[in-house]
Amino acid sequence: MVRSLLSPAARVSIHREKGHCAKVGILAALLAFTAVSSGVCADKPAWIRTDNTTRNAPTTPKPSQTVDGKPYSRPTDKSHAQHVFWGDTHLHTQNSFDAGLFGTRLGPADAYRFARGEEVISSSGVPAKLRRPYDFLVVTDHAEYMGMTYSLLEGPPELMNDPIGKKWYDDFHSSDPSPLFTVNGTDIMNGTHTLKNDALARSGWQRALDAAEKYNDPGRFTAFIGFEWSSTPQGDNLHRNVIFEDGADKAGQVLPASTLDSQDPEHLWKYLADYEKKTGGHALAIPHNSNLSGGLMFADKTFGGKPLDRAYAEARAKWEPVAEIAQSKGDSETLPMLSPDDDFISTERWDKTNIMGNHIDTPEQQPFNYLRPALNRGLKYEKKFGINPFKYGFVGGSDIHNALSTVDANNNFGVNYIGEPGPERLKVAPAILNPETKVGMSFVLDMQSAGITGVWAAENTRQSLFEAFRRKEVYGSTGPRMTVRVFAGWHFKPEDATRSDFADNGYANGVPMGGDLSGAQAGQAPTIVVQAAKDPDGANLDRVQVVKGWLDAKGDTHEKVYDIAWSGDRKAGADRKVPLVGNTVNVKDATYSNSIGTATLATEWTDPNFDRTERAYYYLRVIEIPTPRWTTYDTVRFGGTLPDSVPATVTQRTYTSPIWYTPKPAA
Amino acid sequence: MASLLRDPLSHFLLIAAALFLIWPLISDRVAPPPNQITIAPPQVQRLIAVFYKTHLRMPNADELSALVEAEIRTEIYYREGIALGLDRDDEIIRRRIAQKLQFMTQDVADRQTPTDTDLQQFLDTHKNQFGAEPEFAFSQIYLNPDRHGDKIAQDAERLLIRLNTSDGRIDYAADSDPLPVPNDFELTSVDGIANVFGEAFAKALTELPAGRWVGPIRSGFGAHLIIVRDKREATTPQLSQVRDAVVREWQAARRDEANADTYRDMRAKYVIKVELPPERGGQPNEGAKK
Repeated sequence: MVRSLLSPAARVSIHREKGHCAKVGILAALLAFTAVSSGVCADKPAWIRTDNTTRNAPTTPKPSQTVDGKPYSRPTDKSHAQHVFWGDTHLHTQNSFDAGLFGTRLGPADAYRFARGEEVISSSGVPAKLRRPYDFLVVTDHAEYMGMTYSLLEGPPELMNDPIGKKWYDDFHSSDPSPLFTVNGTDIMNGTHTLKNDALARSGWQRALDAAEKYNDPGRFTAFIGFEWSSTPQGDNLHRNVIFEDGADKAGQVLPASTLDSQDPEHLWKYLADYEKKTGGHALAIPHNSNLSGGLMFADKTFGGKPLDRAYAEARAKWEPVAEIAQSKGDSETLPMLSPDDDFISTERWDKTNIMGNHIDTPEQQPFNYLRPALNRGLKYEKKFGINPFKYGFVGGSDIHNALSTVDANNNFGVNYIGEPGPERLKVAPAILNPETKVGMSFVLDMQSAGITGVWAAENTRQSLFEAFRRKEVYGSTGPRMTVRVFAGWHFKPEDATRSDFADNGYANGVPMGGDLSGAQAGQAPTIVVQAAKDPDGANLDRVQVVKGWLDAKGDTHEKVYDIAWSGDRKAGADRKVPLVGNTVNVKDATYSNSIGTATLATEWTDPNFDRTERAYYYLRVIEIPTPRWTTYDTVRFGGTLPDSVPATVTQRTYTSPIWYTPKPAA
Repeated sequence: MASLLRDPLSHFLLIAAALFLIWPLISDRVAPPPNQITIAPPQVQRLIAVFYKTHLRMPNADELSALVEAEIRTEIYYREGIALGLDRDDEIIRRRIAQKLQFMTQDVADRQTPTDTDLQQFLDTHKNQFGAEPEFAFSQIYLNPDRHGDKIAQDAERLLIRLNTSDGRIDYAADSDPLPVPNDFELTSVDGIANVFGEAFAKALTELPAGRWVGPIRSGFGAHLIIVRDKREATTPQLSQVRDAVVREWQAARRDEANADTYRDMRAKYVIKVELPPERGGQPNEGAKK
């Protein structure tokens, strides 16, 4: 799709010559692009060719990427990541039991079609088409009772011959299917398995496999096979999305791991290990909504209650390279009570209870619900075990349940059937109060229109994108498709931030997001170079920030947010904080203006407080100027009054995966 | 609600439902007498299977005969109930029957096999869906408005002259402001260009002359000087190249059409009257139930 940033040496000869398919192929490999024209061999002359065999080809990046200290040994592409691919790692369709019960009538195939830009008719009967199609999608339907509502609609013998199945069928077709919501909820909370039927489970999984195989289109659109493992012990959210690198030939050899078999994440990791052993394939897990985990997601003990040990850290680091930091049910970065000096924590917070709303979060639990404190404590564990169990890169996912992944605030198709667009949706959706806690969140109003993942990869294929997830060269956004590129190294100079061969230079002399630095010499400090561009159809950028966390000699962790690039001629105050950019949002009309902020930011930054004996991590946060929240757009589009329980404006943002520093090379 | 139930729609649904439910009983006879009840082998097998699941053994002769009797009793009560119109005011039955018929009539197209003629026609009318969008190869030089300020038009003009009069050499490092997207693009679809630079830019680019530097063209990022190097007009790919994709989309389109047609045909048989309650304050549903 996009051919790019040739190094100067390779860019030399732009001349006209007869088109040769073979050369197109070489060029394709060289530039690591994919897609359209590589599959179509032109007879007519082409215009751009480089004589790459006799001149210096773009430097193949040296293996600066490591995973947990070891070089990433999987086969790599001939060239490095040239292009950012956008997609959703977290989407539900009718194949999820809860979504089907909520009224979703679009399945995995519809979800892939919609994501790649085709028009579909939504469950509520509205034609829907994505303005900017995605490059990839993972349909992650709940493993538990996958496909059940299809069976309940159809009533196949394997359902009807089962007394419980028959009862479910009757409940489903009654005017009050609430017993099914209840049984699904209690089974998932208690890990019980009321209707155990392998034939039904297989048919749900087969639907998922078939759809992904049908719509996967290497080079053009990647349809990943995946599922969600929905462990919710006593109402606390330990959910993980599983993504397979492979096709149905391998993923079809197993059934999805179900929390009805075990609620313990270590069981899921064993499932993944067994899968790889059995099939030779590859898969990984992405935790999400740690903010709703009741203090369990990043706890200092295992699910079984034991202290963490090295084996646990190894497994967790291996199977969970990235975590979801932004999604419809809030961001999971941090909270003001955990990071009091941070002025830019997302206002999209689900921080009152666990996911079922049946217990209220205590202040003691909050550090275990958020990623930044988990990254901090990960440094301690790494010191102790030599491996970091919480070494997470970041992705964004929508967790939308109506098969239509939409993350633009002004084009929000809703998270579920009742939340699809219409004048009623802001009115009919009060918070669902848990009867025990009397606390709750609205599954319409409180949902944010997020999130989405940017992936730096060589080409748009399952393999190439999957490898990027494994090496954490990915970033999460609350919606805007900002292009953000970052490298860290020891020798970057200020002018490196603005060179036109930014990426080639970055790979040659540093590590990208998700990478590792180690063993600083005396007097050295890590230098970060970054280039960020706004969403071309979105709002301007306010600032780029570095979030640093570190572990001191006494064993205490610290964190600090640095403003490193910003728009205009604002001056940092005595506290080194840059003043607010302003706010152009006109709430009455749901408009904003790009008269503040800037389109691009590029800078170089050296850690001013670096101690080479201390473990540390650095990640970037790129902040947009304030824009209307989706509810504000809705109020204007459909009329009515602005809901006062949610903010009228938001600051959308992007979180890059961190880069870690360890004092000496990891073992 | 009651008036809806009095109209012929419910009668039609009723007939459809009755057909569906009774079909296994009558499928081996073209026109069985209306008062005949046949318990066929598949039904007996189902009864046995259910029994087995509960008791973990086969039923004996007495038990089987009791099962069959129960089935006949259910069928008779069912038919008599239908004859009395007991289903009509029952919301559960109404919804279940409607869902069943919907389910039966949907997704029928998935099972149809298109002919080559069907596919060719579909391809001809949906060219853009199959990778036949026009494509452009171009290079761009980015001018950041924050860096150039008021002089941006002047700077662009000067740069344009130099680019078009020099020997074709370009120094992106000197001339293009930093932007983490490429300067050189090989043949790229308009959608692909829009994904990187925004929709307005992509549209403007499609109208540019080829072979020389022009601009500035605006994008979400600022201003760009562009040279279009190559252009591939939208072409219709050969069916053989994109057959799988065409079959996929043909089936999806057929399914949507079939679902819509079925409903439209059924609906056309009815005269539908909707009588809204008079507008007044109070509860939204007040009056609707009468």
